[in-house]
This record gives sequence, structure tokens and C-alpha cells, in this order.
Amino acid sequence: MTIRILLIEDDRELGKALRAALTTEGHEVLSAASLSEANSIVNNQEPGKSFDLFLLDLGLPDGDGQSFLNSVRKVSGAPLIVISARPHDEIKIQLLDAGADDYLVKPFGVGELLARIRVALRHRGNIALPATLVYQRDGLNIDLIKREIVLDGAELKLTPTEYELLARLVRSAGQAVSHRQLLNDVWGPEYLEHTQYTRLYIGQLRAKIEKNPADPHFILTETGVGYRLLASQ
Amino acid sequence: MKLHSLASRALGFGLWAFLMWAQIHMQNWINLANAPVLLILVSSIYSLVLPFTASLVLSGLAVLMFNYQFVPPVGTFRVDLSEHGVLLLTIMGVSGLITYLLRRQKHIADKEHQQSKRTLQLMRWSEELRELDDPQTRLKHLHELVQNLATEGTAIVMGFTRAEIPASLELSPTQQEGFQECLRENRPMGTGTGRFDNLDDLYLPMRGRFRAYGVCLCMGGVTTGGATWVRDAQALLDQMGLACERRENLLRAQNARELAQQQKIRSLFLTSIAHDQRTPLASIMTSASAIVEQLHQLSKEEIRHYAKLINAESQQVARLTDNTLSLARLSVDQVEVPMQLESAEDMVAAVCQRLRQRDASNFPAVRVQAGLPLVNCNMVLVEQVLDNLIDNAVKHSGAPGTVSLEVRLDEGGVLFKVSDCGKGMGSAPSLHGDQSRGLGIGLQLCHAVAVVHHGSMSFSSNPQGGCVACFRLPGSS
Repeated sequence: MTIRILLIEDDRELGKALRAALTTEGHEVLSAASLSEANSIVNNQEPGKSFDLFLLDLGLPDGDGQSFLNSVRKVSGAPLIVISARPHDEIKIQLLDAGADDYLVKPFGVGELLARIRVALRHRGNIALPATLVYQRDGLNIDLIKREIVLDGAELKLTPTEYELLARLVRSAGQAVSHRQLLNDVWGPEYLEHTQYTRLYIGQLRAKIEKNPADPHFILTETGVGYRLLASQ
Repeated sequence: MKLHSLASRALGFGLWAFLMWAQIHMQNWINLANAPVLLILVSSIYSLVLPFTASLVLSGLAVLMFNYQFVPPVGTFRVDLSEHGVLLLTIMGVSGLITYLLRRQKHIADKEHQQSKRTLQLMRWSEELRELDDPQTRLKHLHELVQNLATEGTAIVMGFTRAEIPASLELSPTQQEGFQECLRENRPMGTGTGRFDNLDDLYLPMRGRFRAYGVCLCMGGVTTGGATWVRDAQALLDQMGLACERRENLLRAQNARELAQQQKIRSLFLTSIAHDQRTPLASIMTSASAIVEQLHQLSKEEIRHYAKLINAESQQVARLTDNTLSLARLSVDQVEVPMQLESAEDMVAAVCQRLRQRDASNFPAVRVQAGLPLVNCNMVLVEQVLDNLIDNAVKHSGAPGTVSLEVRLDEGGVLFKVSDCGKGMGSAPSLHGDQSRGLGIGLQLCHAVAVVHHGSMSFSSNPQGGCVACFRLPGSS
């Protein structure tokens, strides 16, 4: 499947390398080196040839990513993946909370980028379709319609909060979900400051789901951001 | 002081009264020949303790009484000038002269006494300043000393800068300008100094060798003791000026030393980075140049091998860059590291994920105690520490699969223990050591992270061989 990607990256060499890698995969890539260039490309795209995905590097010379995200969301519902140079980049979390689909920290491998693109596209595709709320991976089967969780053939009992938390991760399986999003969706907006809740409940969930909670195979830790449930197979 | 002078006056009057009494009642013992001697003796004693004019008046009265009691015709004030006039005048003159001489002597002695007192005060003041770290804290004391020198009621204001003078004192614009001028010129000015004599006030600087460090402003100049007062006050002020200068020089020297030290640390830091980078870069360069230059001779398998090597080594460089950036961030004074309550299990999980992505063959045995408390920390930094320690242990362990990471409760905090079964380190790895690549900066970072978390980082030898690294985070209260 050929998809149209807008790559916004000001580093020429990295931009070239990414473009080459994505083109090799058969995608059509347009690149912009600044936010103003990206904005003008988005605003002047030919009808019927809209972008399927945006790759946005933070730290561009002419502004932050937030303004671009806002303006893109007015014209396109396509997924946006943030590329960040620093592991402690607050903006990347802000963008995730504001509706960006995923993020990658430089340096990253091409394999990782392609996997994130696949997941992001799958999720955006799901918006239009009736939600397939069934998750299957390595012996863990979750059915959100029947509210049923089976691990290695045996039904698993979760507390209501644990279930809500897991269900939230299943809905975004394969994508990073920030602490803020989890707190807001599971506990409610008034609990946004209680960041320890996610740590404690993820610990409980892992103890029930993972063989070795310290070396998890389902719920991964996204340092400084939140958690990611590995994509369904 | 007041009591003392009252007592001496009473003594003076007592002596005079005794003299008068003796002249009236002791006529059997005293006659015309010895009375003048007694009169001169006693009057010279009381003139020591009484004011000059009082002494003269009392002596005159005593001579009148002598005339009345002893000079014929006795019992009258009449004087036969030709016979006794010379006697009376001589007694009067000698008594007056002695009074005058003694008074002068006393005045000189008093002055010398006061001078030696002021010298002593100056010495004490200078000693006190020498022992202080910051002489400026003693401004109030200096004010007291100068105020004590001045006559009562003289208003004295002093400060190191004009801004320091409280607004409540309401200096006039001329006074403010004078203050500033005196501070700039480092010379006394104002009334009685020969410079800007027309000013109403006197400005004395706290002189250092090259500049003034403060100014003392005497409102309305000095009323008594002019030159001496100025000299003594200036001496006290100069001590402060010199002390300030001494401190300034000391601080400058200390800054220079610190700067040199920082420079040394910085160059050490740069050397470590360069050293740590050279090895992975060498591998990358060799592999990449092999692919570029020998592309046609290489088999697909060999190219894949080189590419894998480049991939692995560039991850090493990436880690090194992360370490360097974090360390540079932590090296800034009073750095603010954002911290949150985090779960140790979470951090270990993130480290394991990254290890698996890199190289699953060197995966450590992980044991995390259940029910650990959350710890207040910066997750990114702690993960970097664990990553460095495990990477280091993997390099030192003899065989794959012999590295273990154990996390457990320790005195309310959480202890991360990384052990390997390698050859051991003999001694704890030195911060500047070059036993292993990546160790220099990585280890420095581990220590720096431990410090910002008020935790600890230590290395010891494993009794079964190998090395144990313990990173401890304190419990959150």
C-alpha cells in the first residue's frame, strides 16, 4: 500500500536518509525543512491527494510543533508522529496529550519507525470502522465487548480500575499513552495530578499479566511519557 | 566618669576648707613664717583637681584669710604695703604660678593618655577587622567608634554605597553628591579639609590603596578638636577600607582558583568524552570504509556483519551522547532536576526493553522484590544509571548470562544492585580510569545522578569474583 507522507525535518542528512528509507518501502514522501514550508504544503495540497501521515521533528527553526498540530488538525485527520531529539522533551508529551499519535526519540532505527507508522495508520483506519475491540497476543486474549480477559487459557480476574486501565491501553494498542491520558480517561480529569496512581495500578496489572513484571512482554514503559501495550497480532 | 570628677572636686574644696580652718583655729601651730608654706602646699594640691579659675579664686580667698589672721594688724584686712605687700603679692604669685604649671602638666598628661587610649582602640579595631571574614558586617561598630570620638550631638552617617544609606536620614542632594564624589576621589573633603571647604559637612572616605570602600559623613563638620579628630577618625575609617580591600583581593584570588579548578575539570571531562568516543567511532569508521571501498569483494554476509557492527557501535555513541548531555546538565550549579514518584519496577522494565532491542544475548538475570515503594526520582536519569551499570557489567563479565540486577528494599529506600562474575576490578573503578570504554563518562554520570537524588553509588568486589555496583535511592517521605 502506498501512502503519502509529509516529513518535516530540518536536518538535511537525516531528512535524506529517512526519505530514502520510506521511499524504499514504497511510500510517497514530501519533505519540508521548516514549519512555514510545511504549513504552505498542507494548505496548498491538491484536492484528492491529501497526506496519509505526518512525521514532525521538534526543534524546528521557526516555531514549536504545537501550532503545526493545531493547524493540521483543521484540515486533516491523518496520524501525526512526533520525532524528538531529547529524551526529556516536555513538548513531546504535550503534543501526545494534544492529539499526536505517537513519538520517536532520536536516534531510532528504520524498523522502529516503520512499525510505528503501521500502528498509527491502523488506528486511524479504525476510527471510521466499527471498533474491533479484541486483542490477541502471545496467549493474552482480551475481548472488550464481553469484558473478558483470558491468559494462557485461564480467565483472569481484574478489579474494575485495573480493567479500565487495561481497556484504555487496548484501545490504543501499539501506541504510547501518556500518564495524563490514562489518568484522565480512567480516573477522571480531577485526578490529573495523582501521577502515582498509574505507577501503582500498572504494577498490579503487570503482576497479573506478565510472567516477569520487571521484564514485561505486554505493557512496556515509555520513559517519562507513559505506557505502551504492544500491538495485537 | 561623672562620679569621679565630682569626688575630685569635693576633695579640692575639702582641702581648701581645711586650709581656711587651719588658719582660723590653729594659731598655736601656725605663724606668719610657716603659714605661707602651708598655703602654697595645699593650694597646689587642690589646683590639681579643681578647674583653673576656681583654684585661682579659692587661692585668693585663702590669701585674704591669711592676711586677716596672721598679717599685722591681725584681725583686719588692712595691709601695710611697705612691710607686708611684697609678702602677700609673692604668695599670691607663687600660688598662681604653681596652679598654672600643674594645670598645664595635667593637661599634657591627659592628652597623652587619651592619645594612647585611641592608639590602643585603633590597634584593637584593626585586629578585630583582620579576624573577620566580612569586615562590612562591622559597620555599626565603626559608627559607634567614630561617634564616640566626636562631641556629643554630632550627626554621623556612614555607608559603603550611597544606596545603603537609609532614606529616613534624608540626605540633601548636595550631601548625596558629596558622598559620591568622596567615594570616587578617595580623599577627604568638605569643611576644614582644604578641598571643597565651602561645604557645610565633612566627608571622610574609608580608604583602600586604590579606591574608597565607603564614606563617613559628619553633618555640620567637627566642632571641637578639628585636626586631631579628623586624624583619629580617618585612621579608624582607613582600617575598614583596607580590610574591605583585603577581602576583595581574597575573594578575587579564590575565584581565580575556582576558575582554574573548573577549567581543569572541564578539560578532564572533554578528555573523557574524547576517549570514550574514540573506540566506537573507530569500529564504525573501519566497517563503513570497508563497505565503501571493498563493496565488490565482500559477500552479502560480510556486508551484513559490518552493517550490524555499525548499528551496534552507533548505539554506543548514542548512549555516550546521552550520558554527556545529562552530565553536562547536572554539572550546572543548583540544577533543577524534575522528579516524580516512580516505580522501580517500571524503570527496570524500561531498561530491559532497551537491552532486548540492542542485544538479547547479554540479557541480565533480573530480580525485583515485590511491593517496593514508589521513589521520588527522575526516571530518565535513573534508567541511564542502570543502563550504564549493566552495560559495564556485561563488558566485564567473563561469559554471557552472568550479570544480574537485583532490586530490593534497603533502609526505606530502594537499592539497585548490579553484579557480574567477571575478573573483578581489583579496586573500585576510578572516575578517570580507562579500564573500559564508556566507563569514564558513564561512571561520572552515575555518581552525579546519585548526588542529585541524595542517594549513593558504590562499587565493591564480589566475593565470588567480579564486581558489585550498588546504586541506592532514598525513600520518599
